[in-house]
Amino acid sequence: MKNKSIIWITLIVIVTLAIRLYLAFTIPELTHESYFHIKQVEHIQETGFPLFYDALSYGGRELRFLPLFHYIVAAISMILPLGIVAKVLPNIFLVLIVPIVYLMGLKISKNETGAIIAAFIAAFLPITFMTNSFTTTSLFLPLIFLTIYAFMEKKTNLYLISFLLATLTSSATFLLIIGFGIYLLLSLLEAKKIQKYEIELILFSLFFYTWSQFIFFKEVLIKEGFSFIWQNIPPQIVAEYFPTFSIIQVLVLISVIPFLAGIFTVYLALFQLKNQKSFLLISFAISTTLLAWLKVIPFFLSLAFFGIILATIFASFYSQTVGFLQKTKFINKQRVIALIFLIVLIPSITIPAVNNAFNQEVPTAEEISAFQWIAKNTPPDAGVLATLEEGNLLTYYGQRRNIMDSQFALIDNAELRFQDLNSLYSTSFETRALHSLDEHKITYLMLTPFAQKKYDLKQFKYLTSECFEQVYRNETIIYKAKCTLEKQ
Amino acid sequence: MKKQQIKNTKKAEFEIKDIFQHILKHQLWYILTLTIILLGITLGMTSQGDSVTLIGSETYYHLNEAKNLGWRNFQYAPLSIVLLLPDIVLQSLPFLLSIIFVTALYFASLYISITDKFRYLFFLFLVTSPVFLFRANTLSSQMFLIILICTGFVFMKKGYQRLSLTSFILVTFIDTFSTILLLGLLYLYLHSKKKIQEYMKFYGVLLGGIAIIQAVIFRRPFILGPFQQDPSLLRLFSDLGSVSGLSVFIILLAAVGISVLWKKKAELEQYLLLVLLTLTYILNQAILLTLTIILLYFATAGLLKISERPWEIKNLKAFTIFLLVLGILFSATTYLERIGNVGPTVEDIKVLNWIKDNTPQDAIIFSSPEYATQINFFAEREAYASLHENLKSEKISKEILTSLYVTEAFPLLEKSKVSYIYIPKRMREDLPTEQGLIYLLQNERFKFIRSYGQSEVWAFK
Repeated sequence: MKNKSIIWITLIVIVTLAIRLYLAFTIPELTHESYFHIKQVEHIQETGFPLFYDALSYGGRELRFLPLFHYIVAAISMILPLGIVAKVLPNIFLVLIVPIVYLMGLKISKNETGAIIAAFIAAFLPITFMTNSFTTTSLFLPLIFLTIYAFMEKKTNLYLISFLLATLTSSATFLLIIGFGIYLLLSLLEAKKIQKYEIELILFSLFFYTWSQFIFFKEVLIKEGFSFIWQNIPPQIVAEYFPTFSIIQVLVLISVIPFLAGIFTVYLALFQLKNQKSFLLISFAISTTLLAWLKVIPFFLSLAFFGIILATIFASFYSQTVGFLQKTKFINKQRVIALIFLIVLIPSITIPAVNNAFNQEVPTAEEISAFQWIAKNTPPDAGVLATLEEGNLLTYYGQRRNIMDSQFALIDNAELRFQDLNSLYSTSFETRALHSLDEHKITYLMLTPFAQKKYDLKQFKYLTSECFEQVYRNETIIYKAKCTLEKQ
Repeated sequence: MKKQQIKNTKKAEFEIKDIFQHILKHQLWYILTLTIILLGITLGMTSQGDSVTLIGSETYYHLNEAKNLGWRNFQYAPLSIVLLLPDIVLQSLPFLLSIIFVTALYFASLYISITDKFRYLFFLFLVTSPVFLFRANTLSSQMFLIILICTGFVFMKKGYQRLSLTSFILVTFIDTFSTILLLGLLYLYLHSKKKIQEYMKFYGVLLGGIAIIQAVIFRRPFILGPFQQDPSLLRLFSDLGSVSGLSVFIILLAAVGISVLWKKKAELEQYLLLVLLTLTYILNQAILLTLTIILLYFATAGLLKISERPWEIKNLKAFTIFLLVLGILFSATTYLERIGNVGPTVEDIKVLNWIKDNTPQDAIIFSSPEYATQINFFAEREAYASLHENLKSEKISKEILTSLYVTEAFPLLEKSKVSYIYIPKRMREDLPTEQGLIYLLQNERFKFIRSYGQSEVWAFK
């Protein structure tokens, strides 16, 4: 790695991190899902263990998840405040993808400039520019790509450590296993010799991953069987977690140029040059697409993974373009070509990235105040109606029971609960509403601006002064239910 | 000092080798000992889980057939005699059957060109597999089939032609597919011995003819079963909550074995068998035990390839094998924890006996189709739907169980002339409480009659 490249990569890392942190601290709150993880970190800080039984979520339920990310954050937040760590650390993790993509790009293309441009694309990929998202994905993505890099470079110890860490961070390491399977298949079809160490690492990875998932998720697997793959998500919202791809959406989130360059490079690699170094990355691209199509992995993760792969493959595309130019009269114009690429890439990537950051779904300060009001002014055993997305906010800030949140595993009747939750926002019938409130032991109803926007309503349609009392009003409105359908 | 250390290490290695050689030499006894220990543990777990000794729907199918002996099912005569003997004889039957199964399969394997190490590993996998542990506590037609096929081939090899033929003829009494499988195996065997022309016609005509007579006159099914309700893919994996199945690690090893042996043309018969059995399994899960034999063969080949192949990353080899062993043990122990819940439980039997004593003879009892055989045997009543008979009634019973409204469930129950509903403990745990039949029981047309523990009977008016 030349000194010049080190300088460029360091510059990209610093600039990206600076922009990410600026945006992270400009947008005051974290995304809705982040509060589940914040709660886990706080519990680890207090007790040393994750919260595997949550009395507030779904009115009391078991949780099963991989806690490595939470332990790392808990350890670091012993030195720094959690509020700062929650915004800084995920952004640092995601920025670490930059040098990894550079190294992978250099490996497949042997072109320093191409690898630097690939790193730049990876730094500003819109889909990964979620600066206020405190989730395991922020650690998972750099780990998985580090694993891939270590595999390519035959760095066994690095591979084992990064793979182990990735497996303990997220079950989505499954992507890697499937990718390896497709890699073996492609190599077989192309009659390419598979290295001995590759087979050994793949075998070990397959068995270790399977074993670790069974250790952590034994009860979930026995209870849900194959449905475990789809995380028990209610059918009504499966489309939200596994949406059908809109090509325009894809092009915006992973940028047009890397997408087109990636397609072109894949075509060349598979059908003309038969570049085995690219086979591995292409296999992962295929595995991601396949798993996303089968709705096995969520949309966001599949697109992020796909985007980073395409960014890396861009290095190969650049190298081939330069190689082509060397055969033409533009032989001395390589620097100009690099400049042209950058001029085109910078606006096409950075603007959607920053835009995506600003469009993150975060609660407003007023909504947070409303949840905090709930914590101070309602009985500790009260149940509160909040949207599915706000469920984690309710248990975190409001310290009260919710009907539902985004953790669906091990929940009986998730579909039915979701129906009830939706009907409480959409029904016009007081009896229906009271029946659902009684069933889930809900005594307070929250209508936040987020809920108003989601359900397109200004007010619950079934409110009557006899049965509902307004107890809080700002942008958020909170009601207390005074009636019940149950016999006294 | 160093020389002494090397000498000690070599001595230790030598001793371990000695022990291993001893185990391989007397492997049948070690395997049978392990089998007895494991069966003892499963017996303990079933007692702890309030289940009776004889578990599984298939057991009660056979017992019911034996109880209602007629000219069509005269092959159950020996079992009918056992029913007349003290209970301990009947309860010992699955245990005896599984010991005979392991022994017969072992002796048959002596005539296959596999090493002692391969044989030992295969049987280790077999006796620790959930599918064997489950079957070893049931009366299983598949186990009986494999015993007959193995003894038939062993007798044939030893020159006892009449005994061999008797075993093969008994196979035709199970179902038609068993005969087809046997003829396929005979063809492969005779082809390898280059005796096709001499004997295949004889076996084909004799066994095929008997099978046709069995099917037409005695109405033998094409495949006896299924007796469990899991989807076929789920049923293959014990780790995903299936009643039996194989560990996912065994399946992965089998995949490795399949890819490793692919290059050897001599293994073509095994691949043909694998394809045939897999396709049949997809259509009817009842042949799981037979499919398991071939899958375990490939799994053993896979493990041996992993262990005998020189690895570039040496430490990783030991760790990978250790992971595999841990994984297989983990699957086995997790399954042993669950086997006690298979049922029927003591309370289930009490409820069914109550139904027998307190309901009209012509009452139709509704329940999940997999409990039909228990209803037939204990309650001596007709079950509305079973898994292996009428597909239409099985479909309707599923509709009843998942009905969201009484307006959906009532017409179906009325049309089926159901008068009682039997809800065993496991069915209540499997069904959702906030929708479906369990929720609809609140309606006044359902009247709670009796319960023992968590097993219940309701009347439908």
